[in-house]
Amino acid sequence: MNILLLDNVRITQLIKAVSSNLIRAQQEEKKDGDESLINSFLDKAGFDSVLLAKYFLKENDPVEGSRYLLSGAYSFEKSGAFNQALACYNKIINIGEEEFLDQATLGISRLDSIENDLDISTKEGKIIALDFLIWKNYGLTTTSAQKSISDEFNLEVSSASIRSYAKILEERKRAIIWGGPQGREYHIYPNIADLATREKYYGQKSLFVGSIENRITDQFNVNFNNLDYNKELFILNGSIVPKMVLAVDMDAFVQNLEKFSRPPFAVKAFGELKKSTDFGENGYETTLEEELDLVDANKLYDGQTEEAIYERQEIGGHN
Amino acid sequence: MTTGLRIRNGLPLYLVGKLINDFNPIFCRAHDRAISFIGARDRLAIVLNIINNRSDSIGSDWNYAYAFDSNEVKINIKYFLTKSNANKPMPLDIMLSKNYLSISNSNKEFQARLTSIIEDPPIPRIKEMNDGIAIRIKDLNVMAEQVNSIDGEVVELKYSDHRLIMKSINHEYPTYTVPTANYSESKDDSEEKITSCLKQILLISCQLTSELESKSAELRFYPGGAAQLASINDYISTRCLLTAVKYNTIL
Repeated sequence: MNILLLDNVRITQLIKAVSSNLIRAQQEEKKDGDESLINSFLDKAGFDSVLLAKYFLKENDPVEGSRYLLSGAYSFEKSGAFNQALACYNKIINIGEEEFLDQATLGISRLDSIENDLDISTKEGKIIALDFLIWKNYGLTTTSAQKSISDEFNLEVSSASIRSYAKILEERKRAIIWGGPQGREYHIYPNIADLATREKYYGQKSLFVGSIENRITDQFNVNFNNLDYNKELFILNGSIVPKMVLAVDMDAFVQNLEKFSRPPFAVKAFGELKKSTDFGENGYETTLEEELDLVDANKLYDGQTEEAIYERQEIGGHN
Repeated sequence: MTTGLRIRNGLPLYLVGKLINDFNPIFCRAHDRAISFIGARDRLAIVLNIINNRSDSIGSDWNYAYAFDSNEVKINIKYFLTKSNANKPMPLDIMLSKNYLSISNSNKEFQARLTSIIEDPPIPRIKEMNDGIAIRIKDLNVMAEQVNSIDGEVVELKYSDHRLIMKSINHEYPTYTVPTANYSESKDDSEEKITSCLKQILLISCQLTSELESKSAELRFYPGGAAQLASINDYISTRCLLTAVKYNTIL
């Protein structure tokens, strides 16, 4: 369901949820509770704050929007969700409301040296370290995560622990996993879609999870001067706020015609994040009224079964 | 309600038979006084239009979409896969219903039904190209033979000094000058135009389009972009959209 279309009841529920999760985190902290539990409350509060900020910004209320972004940033920073915090601070600066600028700038400077301050002696510290590396490398497998943690933090972590930490990161909406469980490697990617702003990640490839909804191919004009592939275009929605456009190669569309004919269906799409207007470089000029982010999918996985349903064949093995 | 179209012979089904070899499923759209069979995949889309321009057509107020399983189509239209059968001057009736097409010739010696595998499927959007440069191809069979003898995966097509030159992107030789009817039409033909496409896809397009034996076959293309090979006779047209392979993806 798209928050930006929600009514006041849902907004009130979200505001209550933010407060409730912050209070629960505080209570756990007071009694020296489980650090993972505290951080999961903080992450929930952070993501709900970002949703509220997006709502208020859509409603042309930059002050309230910035306030919720700042609240989200603090929650994320405290829970070790540094990329989510950074996106909140960057968005505040991008909005430009003066009363929030100093705090956002300070926040960014605190996050600058975060790698050196990580305490990796605890389980939660190791989870944060894995999170840090997933974002730094824009995706890791179980094996490459083990190597990366060993190289960067001089820490040996079993593959079972990596999988367990990755699942926790996925539950907290910081990462998206494809693969596993029975003997197969996890492919762990940063969850770019749920950030306060995706701006820093245009041109970056990652995994996006959502629900394929209506077909919007007709809302793009084809300009043949730079056409790379025949494409079909769909709205990717579900948990993604704001919704995105999924560009699907014609082979993917034809090979999975039944699924694409009967939306909605759950999908995981690996591909490059772009602005829908930038897709003009590939020959597709948008006539959409709103500017949406777009994923140009190289690989598609069935969201229910995790089965690979399409992989783009590059000519001569080149990108 | 049933509606449909009467055409003079089975040639369109012979051409559909050619599409079956390279595409599955075969899409079909009956809309706006025409029935279009469509094959689509990355970098290639072929549209075969049967144009309803005869006064003895049964009806024209239609809007149907189908996706046919190519293997089933192959079995159903086996009779028309032989060109001599397809060219017999025996009118063919194509009747349209929500989920299927019924095909029969006028004396009912041939009757078949093509059933859609998906109800009202989305039809790939194949945009028609305008502008660019259009070059009349003199003999598509010759061009197909030339394409066939080019090495490599990607063919470069260059239009320069009113000549169409074709060669492999990876090899200088052989280089062919495609026989043209010394005709071009363009808003801007002052510059050299180069595009590239997959050899296999260009070959399919040439072979299919040549089946129409039309004198109007044209290649229309843009620099660095898509190309279109099109041909038309008085009631069938083919249009092959060849999307370009960018140079920087190959080198």
